[in-house]
Amino acid sequence: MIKILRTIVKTALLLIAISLVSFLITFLAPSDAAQIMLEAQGNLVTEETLSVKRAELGLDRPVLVQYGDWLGGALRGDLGRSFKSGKPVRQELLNALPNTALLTIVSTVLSVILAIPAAMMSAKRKNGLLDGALGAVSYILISFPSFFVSLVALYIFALKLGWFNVIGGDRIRDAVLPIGVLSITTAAWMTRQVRSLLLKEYSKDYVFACRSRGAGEGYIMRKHILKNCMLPISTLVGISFASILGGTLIVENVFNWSGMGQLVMKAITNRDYPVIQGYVIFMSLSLLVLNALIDMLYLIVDPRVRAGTEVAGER
Amino acid sequence: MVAVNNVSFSIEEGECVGIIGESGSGKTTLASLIAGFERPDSGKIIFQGKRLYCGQSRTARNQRRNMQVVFQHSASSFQPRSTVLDGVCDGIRYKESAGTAQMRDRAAKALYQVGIPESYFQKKCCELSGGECQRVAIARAISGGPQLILLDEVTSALDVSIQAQIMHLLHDLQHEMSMSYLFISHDIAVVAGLCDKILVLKNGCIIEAGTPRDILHNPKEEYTKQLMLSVLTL
Amino acid sequence: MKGNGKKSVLFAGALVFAVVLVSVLGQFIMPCDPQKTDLSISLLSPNSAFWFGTDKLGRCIFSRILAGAPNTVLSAVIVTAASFAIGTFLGITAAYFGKLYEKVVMTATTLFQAFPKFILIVALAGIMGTGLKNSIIALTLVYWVPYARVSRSLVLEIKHIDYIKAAQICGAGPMAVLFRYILPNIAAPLIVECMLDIGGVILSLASLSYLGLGSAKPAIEWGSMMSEAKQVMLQAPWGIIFPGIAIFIVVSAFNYFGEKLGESFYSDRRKTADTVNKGRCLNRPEPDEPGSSLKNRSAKMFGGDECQDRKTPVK
Repeated sequence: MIKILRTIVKTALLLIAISLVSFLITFLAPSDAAQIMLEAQGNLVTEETLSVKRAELGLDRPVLVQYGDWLGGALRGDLGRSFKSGKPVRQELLNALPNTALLTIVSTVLSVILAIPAAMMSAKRKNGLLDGALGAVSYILISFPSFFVSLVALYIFALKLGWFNVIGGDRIRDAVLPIGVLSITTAAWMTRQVRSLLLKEYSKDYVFACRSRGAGEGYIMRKHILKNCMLPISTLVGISFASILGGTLIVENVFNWSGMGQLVMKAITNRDYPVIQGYVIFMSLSLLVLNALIDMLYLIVDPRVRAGTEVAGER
Repeated sequence: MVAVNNVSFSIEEGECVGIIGESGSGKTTLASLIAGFERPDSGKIIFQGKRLYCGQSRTARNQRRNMQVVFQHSASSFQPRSTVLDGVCDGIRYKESAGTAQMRDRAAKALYQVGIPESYFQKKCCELSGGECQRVAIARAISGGPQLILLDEVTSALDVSIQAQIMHLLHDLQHEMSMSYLFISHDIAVVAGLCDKILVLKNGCIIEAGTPRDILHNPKEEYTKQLMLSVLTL
Repeated sequence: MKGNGKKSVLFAGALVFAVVLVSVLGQFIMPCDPQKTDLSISLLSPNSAFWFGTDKLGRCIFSRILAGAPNTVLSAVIVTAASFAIGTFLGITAAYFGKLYEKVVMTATTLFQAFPKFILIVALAGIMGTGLKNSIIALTLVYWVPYARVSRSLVLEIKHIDYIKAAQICGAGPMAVLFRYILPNIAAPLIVECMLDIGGVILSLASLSYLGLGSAKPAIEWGSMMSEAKQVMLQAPWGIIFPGIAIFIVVSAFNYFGEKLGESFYSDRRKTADTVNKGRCLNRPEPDEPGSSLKNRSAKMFGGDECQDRKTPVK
């Protein structure tokens, strides 16, 4: 119980730290908010107008004060306003959210559904034909950048085969390619990792004991191996989710999918810092929540972790 | 849990003090405290007239210039890839600013003193046998000309015949170089042969102290008597 | 087995060396001027004059790939070297000195790991502005973290081994102990990590330049080459395929080398593990991680296993 509370507290503190870092990132910019806003509105940029604008925006106050101000607003859900459009950042993010959420959630689930059976089959017949083929395919997929895989997919399925449109149309149909690319590239990585986990588990003593008692391979896989690997696999899911979040930046660009990735790339071009900031915070928050849930899963499921001892049977 | 409780003793110049006790009696913690790896909660350690600080600060290190340690497992007291000569040079490298050639000469001298021939100098420490490696460790300890050496179970991992050789070596070295030893062991036979004074440690406390003759022939405490009984031959 | 192991490490190393050599020297053996535009020969398919064809401005793609190689490969080496140096230094000093300093460093790593990697990279590069220098800085700021964590846990493992204590009693100061006794003995897994990371860095760099965040024109980079080629993908897919294959070759070479190094190290480690274990101090404290963060737990689970991939997928 206490450990669950500790996780929550740690998560909350981490969230505040994330928000601070995201806030401070914008100070790395070569030009500040005052300059950008003046330029965006077509005003003259001189020392005078800059200092007036800075005072207006409160940029002359100490950094921590500015952060406190901003944090107060953020906790109420107000993430500032876009420099470019003037609309609230929260609104812009929420508008773009459904499209990106569709991609990320479906891709994460799909990658798990693809990877785990593939890894199981690979591990069962280690060094067999299937293992070799899957190994080669996944090795290739992880050595190409995801934008390349996306472009190839676009070329083959949209341009050459004409199954999908390059530019907008039916939403569900358009989602197939981006989701496909995201899931398959992530599944490639995950298959290799899960396979290695399963093999490691296979080599443990208790498996030998099970076999000599006459247990079948399927039984061993289901009752023991998978169960014991569930927790490390959930860690992998957390890592995959982070990777998929980053991947949306690429696939949304290639497939012209209007989600948060497109939003932030436009914001970068427009030096629209509040939007970039809001995006970073939102994405980190999603990842943080997922990881916290996984941490709690560990606490609930693994009695060894609950007791705080080292994993038995390992050096 | 208190590892070392109210332990108070002194070592004279040129004296060999032995500490015996079973595992968990606090012997190694005592050595760690003197060597400065751990901090005592109370009390002080005085070496060559100065009160010792613990830790890795320059002061603490300087204070222990004339102190050395030899460990139980000689193989792991040298870096995996270090050669015999290099390992012994470590004993001189940080204590005085000698040139490389000088340093190697002194290291070679120390190695001769412990009976390691020149053909061994470029071997890796992990290639040597337990006894040979322990000799190299002793060479490293004496290379800087220390006044006090802490010997923590140095023969416990060796065969009985090799143990005897090492004990003789230590005995000879002590008289040649007039050093003091703090010799820690669980083996009474080994301690009795070398030491001038023996302290019996149990659960962190000194329960008996005396010369080897006293301890062996007239043990006063029940625990000491039990320790004597466990020695099969003397 | 050992003989075979060494051979494959050497072979893989030779491959990497060849790749780096070609990347660095390739620009001196280009058949054509990579910047020369000639619209009359634009979008030619691969032929004897232009081995990889021409792009939409009539530039020789083969030459452009060779010209762009140093940007990608050398930048990746710089990023990896810098993040290795910074991360390892912070990690080993944190483990050695402990106390508040260690807590600060570890909190920093947890903080940086809370952000999805690629998103943080893009945000940093985006805010700092385009340019290779900013990409390098952004990547280094993200890639130092695994080195810090891994090196810290490695140092905690060997911190109480006798030869470290022996060095300390011989009078070696903290810096001497760290660089003479600790670092050489933990270097192997870190170098493996380096090699595996370079591939990831190259992919990230290519993705950054694809998104427009890399060097400004007219500098040549593989990612931006492919982004330009996307517009004419239907007529001239070779503009995308060849730079993609170039990336694949470089990334695979480093990954393969990293794998082979990792395998040879792991089999060595098994042999020396027993001798080292014997010498360990009985009262060696366990690396204390109350409420272990997910990443640390995953590091423990994946340490020294069969799968030598990067522990996080890269987009």
